[in-house]
Amino acid sequence: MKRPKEIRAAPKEWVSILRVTYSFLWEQGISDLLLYGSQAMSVYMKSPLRSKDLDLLSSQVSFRQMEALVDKLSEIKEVQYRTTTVQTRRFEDRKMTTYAIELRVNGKPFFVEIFDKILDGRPLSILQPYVEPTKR
Amino acid sequence: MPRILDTRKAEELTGIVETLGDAASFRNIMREAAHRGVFKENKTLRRYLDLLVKGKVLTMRTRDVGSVNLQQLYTVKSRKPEVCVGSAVLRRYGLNWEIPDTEMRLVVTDFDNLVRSKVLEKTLMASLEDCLIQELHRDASRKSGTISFVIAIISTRVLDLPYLLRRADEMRLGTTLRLLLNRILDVVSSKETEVAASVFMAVRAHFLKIARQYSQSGLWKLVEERGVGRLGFQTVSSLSEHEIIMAAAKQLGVTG
Repeated sequence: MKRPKEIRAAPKEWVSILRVTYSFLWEQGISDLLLYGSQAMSVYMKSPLRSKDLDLLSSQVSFRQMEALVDKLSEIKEVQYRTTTVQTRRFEDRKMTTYAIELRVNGKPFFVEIFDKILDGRPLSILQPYVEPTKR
Repeated sequence: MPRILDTRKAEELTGIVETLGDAASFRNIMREAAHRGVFKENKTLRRYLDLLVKGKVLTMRTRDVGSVNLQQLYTVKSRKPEVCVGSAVLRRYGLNWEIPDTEMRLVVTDFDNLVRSKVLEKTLMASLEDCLIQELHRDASRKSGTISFVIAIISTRVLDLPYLLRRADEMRLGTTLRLLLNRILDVVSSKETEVAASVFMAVRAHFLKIARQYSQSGLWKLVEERGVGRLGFQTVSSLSEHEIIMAAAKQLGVTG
């Protein structure tokens, strides 16, 4: 059987998106921005992982800021913008909103996702004891 | 996977009923079948007889012989079994499309198909693999558009691949079906897509999992072999990425 082509973005591809996204949102006054998911793991790894999305957490992001972010991301040479979606899910009395920007990075599908809650609508503050600022 | 009955036994049983003629009662059939080494248990014989009656190979009438139970007498009606196929049957196998119950038809088939068929809602329905081949054939000969249903199922369900390909070869769809499986693999293996990424990724993950299962058990080699017959070949070669992905995505429920 023919081997399927790799669909996940290489670290050097997603790192450029992370760099633009993080610094842009920080400049916008988003002070609770956290890197989450496999990219957060990659920070601590010798060889970062390939990925099909970039997961960030923040309770302060608005749709307008996401639209401005799209303009910024579209300036990256190998990135093409497709769509932005906002999804709100309810978990009993809790609510969780996810902003997703669908991109193509060198033709490969890639998502920038920002969650305002974690684990089925729980507040980001529960991560507080585990958060650490890291530079790489 | 449910246990499949034996084609040879079903055919042999039909022969026994024919040989016994007017004396083909359940007890006589059981005795003759045991004598020939075909069946040893009443329950197994009953299962085969019920299936043959449902498939219109045998008819059964009863006679009062003064016992508590009526005597059951079997007669051979036809050597060509009949089963139901159609998109409404695919719906019963889990096709995620709104299809009216009228989209069902009886087809004359063989014992291979009969022993794999199932009784669903009191109707004898062909196996999933046979239904798929029938719909592919219908699309090739009548442009029925049912190829979307075939794509939906073969890209999302693990099937009896050797049987599916054998039946396709018998219906002169062998090359076409192999092309379709390879087209789906090509589309989902690509790193680029024009459809929404979330939809594409769901279909990709699902089909590659199935394809890997076929590959690990060595069955994908059958897809790489040369098939028999090219009915509907043109239709399959002209399928777009969008048509393939959307059919599978609808089946998975990731798009409307």
